[in-house]
Amino acid sequence: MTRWGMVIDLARCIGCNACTVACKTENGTPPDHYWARVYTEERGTFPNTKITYVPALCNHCQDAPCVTVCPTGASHQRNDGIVLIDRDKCIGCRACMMACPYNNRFFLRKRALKTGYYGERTAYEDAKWKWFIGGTVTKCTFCVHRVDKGLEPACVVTCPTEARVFGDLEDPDSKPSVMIRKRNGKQPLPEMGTNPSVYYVE
Amino acid sequence: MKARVSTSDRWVQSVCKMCLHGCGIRVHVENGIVTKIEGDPTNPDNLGKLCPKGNIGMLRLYDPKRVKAPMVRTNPKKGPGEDPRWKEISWDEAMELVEKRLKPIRETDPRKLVVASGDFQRIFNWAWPAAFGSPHFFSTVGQYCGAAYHPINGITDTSFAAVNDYEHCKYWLQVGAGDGFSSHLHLSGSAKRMADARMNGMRVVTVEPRMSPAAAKADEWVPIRPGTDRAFALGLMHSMVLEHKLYDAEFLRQRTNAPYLIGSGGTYVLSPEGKAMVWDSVAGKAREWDDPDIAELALEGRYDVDGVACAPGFQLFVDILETHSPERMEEVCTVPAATMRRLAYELGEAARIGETIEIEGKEYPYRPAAVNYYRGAIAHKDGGQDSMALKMVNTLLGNIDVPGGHLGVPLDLRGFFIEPGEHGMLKPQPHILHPPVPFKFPADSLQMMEWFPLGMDAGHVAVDAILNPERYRLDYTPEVLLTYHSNPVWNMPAPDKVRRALEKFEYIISIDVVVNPTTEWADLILPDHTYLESTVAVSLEPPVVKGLALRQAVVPPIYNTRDATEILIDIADRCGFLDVWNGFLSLLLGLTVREDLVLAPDQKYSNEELIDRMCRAAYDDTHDLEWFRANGHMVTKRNAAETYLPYDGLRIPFYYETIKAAGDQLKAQFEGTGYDWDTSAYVALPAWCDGPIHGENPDYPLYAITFKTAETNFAETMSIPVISELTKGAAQTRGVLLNPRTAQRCGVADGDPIEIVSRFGRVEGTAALTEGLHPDVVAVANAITGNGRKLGTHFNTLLPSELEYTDVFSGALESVARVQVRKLVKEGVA
Amino acid sequence: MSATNVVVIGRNQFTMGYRRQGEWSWLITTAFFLGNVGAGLFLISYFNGLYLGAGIGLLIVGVGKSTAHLLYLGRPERFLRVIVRWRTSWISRGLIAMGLFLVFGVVYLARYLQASFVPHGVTAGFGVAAAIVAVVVMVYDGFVLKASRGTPLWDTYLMPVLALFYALLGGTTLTLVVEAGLGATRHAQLEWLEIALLALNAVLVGLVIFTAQARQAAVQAAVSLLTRGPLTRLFLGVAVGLGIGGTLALVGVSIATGSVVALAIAAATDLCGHFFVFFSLLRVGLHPPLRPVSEPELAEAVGA
Ligand code: SF4
Ligand code: SF4
Ligand code: SF4
Ligand code: SF4
Repeated sequence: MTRWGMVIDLARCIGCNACTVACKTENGTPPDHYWARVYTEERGTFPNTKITYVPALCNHCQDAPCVTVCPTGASHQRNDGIVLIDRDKCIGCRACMMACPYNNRFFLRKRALKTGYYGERTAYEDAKWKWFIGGTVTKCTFCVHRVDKGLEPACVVTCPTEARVFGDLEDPDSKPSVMIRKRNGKQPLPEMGTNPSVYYVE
Repeated sequence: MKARVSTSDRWVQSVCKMCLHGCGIRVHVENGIVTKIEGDPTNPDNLGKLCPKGNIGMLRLYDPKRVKAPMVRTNPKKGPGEDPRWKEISWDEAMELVEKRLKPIRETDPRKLVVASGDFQRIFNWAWPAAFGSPHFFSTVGQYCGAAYHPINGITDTSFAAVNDYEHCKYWLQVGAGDGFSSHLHLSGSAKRMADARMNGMRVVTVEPRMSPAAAKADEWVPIRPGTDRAFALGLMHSMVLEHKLYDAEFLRQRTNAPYLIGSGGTYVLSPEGKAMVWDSVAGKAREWDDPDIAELALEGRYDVDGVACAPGFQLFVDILETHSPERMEEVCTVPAATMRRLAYELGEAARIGETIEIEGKEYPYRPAAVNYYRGAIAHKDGGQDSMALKMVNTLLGNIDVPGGHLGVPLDLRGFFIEPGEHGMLKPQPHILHPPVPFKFPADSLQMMEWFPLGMDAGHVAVDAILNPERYRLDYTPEVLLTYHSNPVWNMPAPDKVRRALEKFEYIISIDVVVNPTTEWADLILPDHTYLESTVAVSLEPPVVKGLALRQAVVPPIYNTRDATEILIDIADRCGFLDVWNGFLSLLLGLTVREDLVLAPDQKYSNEELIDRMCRAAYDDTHDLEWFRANGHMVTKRNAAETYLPYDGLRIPFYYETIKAAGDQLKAQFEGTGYDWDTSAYVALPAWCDGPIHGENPDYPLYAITFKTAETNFAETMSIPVISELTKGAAQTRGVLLNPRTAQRCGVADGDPIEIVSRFGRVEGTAALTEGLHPDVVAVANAITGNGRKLGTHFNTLLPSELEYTDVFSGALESVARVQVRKLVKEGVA
Repeated sequence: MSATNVVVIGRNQFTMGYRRQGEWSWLITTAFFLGNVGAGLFLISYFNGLYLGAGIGLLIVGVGKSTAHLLYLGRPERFLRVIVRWRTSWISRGLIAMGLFLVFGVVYLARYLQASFVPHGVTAGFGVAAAIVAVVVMVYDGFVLKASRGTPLWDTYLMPVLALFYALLGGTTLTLVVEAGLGATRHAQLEWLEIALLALNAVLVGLVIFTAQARQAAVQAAVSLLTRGPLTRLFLGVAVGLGIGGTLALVGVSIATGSVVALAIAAATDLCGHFFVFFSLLRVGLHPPLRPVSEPELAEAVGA
């Protein structure tokens, strides 16, 4: 069976935010919704400073607390590991947002869909926002609509440094599996016991 | 799953114009709406990658602030806060208004029209003012970025830009540049090439005041005080040449003018036949540079040739280096002398001087170590010398245009302009953007281009000239301003002065896509299509590829707009110089290669006809506009012969005699005018001298710098809400960056509102503390200059536009400001 | 590790640091609070045979708590969907329990309402059932917090315990008030129960604070916001000081003097404390940084 996953190469990432924006346009996410984003982590003191850019997205956790707490079944996991929210079932209780240790869920206020990015909706937003229902929670879908067509996620395709690598974690020879093995891939916040499908290599 | 088959759902190949460089894109159009933009995987330039700006291009198209039809101002009062009360009019009415204003000027004194242009992808339109007879440039083209860079590149190896060899470099010393990380040439593809090179073991050392992505990803970050990169380069070269003796003497002898003898006047010592002389150290006498009997060229020593005391250019540089010890340079730039010495050694060792490599069947010198630099290092009062000094590190290493080294990048499809020059040298090409403007006194152009024989148009000088006509001996008064994709109020230094200059114009016409701080001053706005609605063939500063790519109308225009090229043709026709303009266009579009493609003088061509001819002229009749529409591009990777030493057999300058000679000539030309024009910047070799921003300054203790990020470089993205939303939260752009210890001294905490004051202006901002910043520095991202921020920090307000702060050789402006920073205390709140 | 220096970043700030949950606030606190005290009042009243108290408890839950929930939900019209996932979700379980509680409770009260068509044995049975599900209503929100793995402060069994005992305390307080309102003789046991519960809750709150040292950095960070941060006044002053200390004193006065006024004020301070204990705990729900922030080197003091 397939288990979709991603490896993020922190040595490659230059913090350019192309992934952040590509995710926004692929999925047409409304203001404040950052399914993909990049954190800047700063350590040390001048001049011994270390800055690391840490891209993030939903980890599609195999033990997903967001799914466990969801009272409606809106949050669910497919057999290939992708965690999704059924926008027709979600009641907007936001329990899942409290359960996700990674800030990967976003509550969509009804107002945000009215005003859009400019205070008035553009033709682009009209076309894109058919997806969304106000009053529900949204999150990264692993670009399931692309993956199901055999394409890679939008954030992966655009990344200028190829820092995001997508593939099947069950397949020991897939690019991400090999990277995880060879470069000691680490899951984020392992102490949370969520078993993420996203790994980081340094 | 069922595949969607629908004609209303298509992907169109095109070219991005969210910055000027033009990566290949594919655009998804669903039911007539652009819903997604991706990198074009068939284009070897960006290999399917796309930076954040390119991804969000559709919001340029759908921006509600777009100008939707020609608009005329009905409120005669102009200025900030004045509502122009725009009234939409028809194109016919609009063009009549233009004709009424411009035709009399064209017929009497065309200098009274001033143009500000900024549309790089249609760079041929930059010549339109010249066809009109207007010599001016009232915008920014290089004063904070490439003014000091392009002429030095052009003089060195006829390139426009330059970047290290991503494929073969193994030691990359990055000084004040974003190449491969955050900005400059073709970011998307460059970032990919840089990441691959780093993963393949290339060492990166980054020298700059702020820990930018280039420094964050580097193996070593060397913080430096702003505006002192030349001091660093000189200290480095001191150590390379005098201490480690790590430089490519063979390269200097055989491929540069380093051995040419220089007389006391600073120019070549010539033989009676007028040929440059060299010293043959075996024969112990001077010979002409091309004398086949030369046994060994001397690089060092002092000689006497027929009573003329002289020395090889290299020796003169050694003399300069003697006085530029790393210790002395450390005091200027704060980089420890030991670090300079170590880097000099590492760089010299990594350059593998003497080794060669075979590529595509040909043997080349192999120098896999190079310095890469750009605006941070050179946009300064002595930018010409900064640029020269950094270039010379590469020349010393013998890495110019060889595998692994520092490679020239051409401006466009025309490639390098390789012609033999004098004395066995490659002919210098300082003027790649437009031909040189002959000396004239008084000057016709407001930016005094007649007095910059080698430099670029310093638009800020035009502002100064409009405000002080006597100082520049203007004998006419400008009347009409035409801005074309240009926003001088925002992009020029000292915006208050720009506004005062705008007040002097009787009429302002703007060709643009959205309203901006400058179009607010316009009397008439002529709306252009966006890049997703218009067509032009593009090739701009491609670092590793060549060939045209088509930017095409992906969707029909959604408003009552017209292609800027056609607007300009229409004005030319109405004002009676269509024939002149068609002649220019034939040249600029490269149509003169074929008789049948040259434009007829009196015919009005459509934009598409022009682009069709441009494509056919560049290739052949098969590769016409239709072909490009279907196939996207003709972009291929440049091969080794086109990349490495394309001028093999011609020498490049080590000693910049061209510059010295140009300065001497300019000085002579000014003689008798009684006018005092400083020509001291025309030097053949760089040295350190304090500029106006250096040294102790108790009133303005800090150095303010600005920087670009991947989301905003070279672009007009700040008005796009997705980008401004994102940059508000991003670490480097969430506010004005300060080192925590500096902040503490200024009594400022993270998140505090602050004011930054220079001698020239005052701006406000929000403090954002970071350990990734030199403690002498205040860093202001271009992303935070306004638009959508509570406290917008317009960096240019801190800058002067005086000549005193301008490099009179290149036109570069000092882009560092000395400032003080205070916590902002709102007054007057009772 | 000291957690004085905690980098708390705002919504859509892309620096590494803790992030405060910004979604559960007044309405969820209100819903939890009303569920606690409503079910608590029902339970205590039930054991004391106080139908009025039980009725008021039902009303608080049936009207107050459910209104707060409905106001909060993004799509209230889909409310019924919550029952689907009782196997894993404590929200599901809690709200099913709430529904059952309302049904059982109303049937139980039928006797009191003279609805003689319901046989006595049946109402008594429903009374027992209602009391049992009331306990679920009292504690489930603690389990909801416990299940919120993303906010480690809450991820402890102390949360359901705290919910249970605060619910009992609230129930006791309100029962005392209802009794006083009816002019009935006061139960000394109830008054002592009140004091015992106050003391117990003080211990529990103390445990939340003091066990933080042994837990994840995110817990310590959250607790430092409570004790040395922007919420200190509300938490230590109002929720603990007034809510527990003040109430203890007032109940003491009331016992000593029999003052109904003192009792009424004690009830107010207790409920206020109860509300703000949970409000504070919700507000300092910190999500951990994606990669652990190792303290002082990159820390910046916030709040405090
Ligand atoms: S696009 Fe790639 S390099 Fe850029 S921030 Fe995202 S992951 Fe990093
Ligand atoms: S907000 Fe929606 S998805 Fe999240 S737990 Fe509630 S019902 Fe499930
Ligand atoms: S990252 Fe968060 S939202 Fe995504 S599966 Fe894991 S817990 Fe759920
Ligand atoms: S996988 Fe798709 S939805 Fe998820 S972050 Fe990447 S682009 Fe966004």
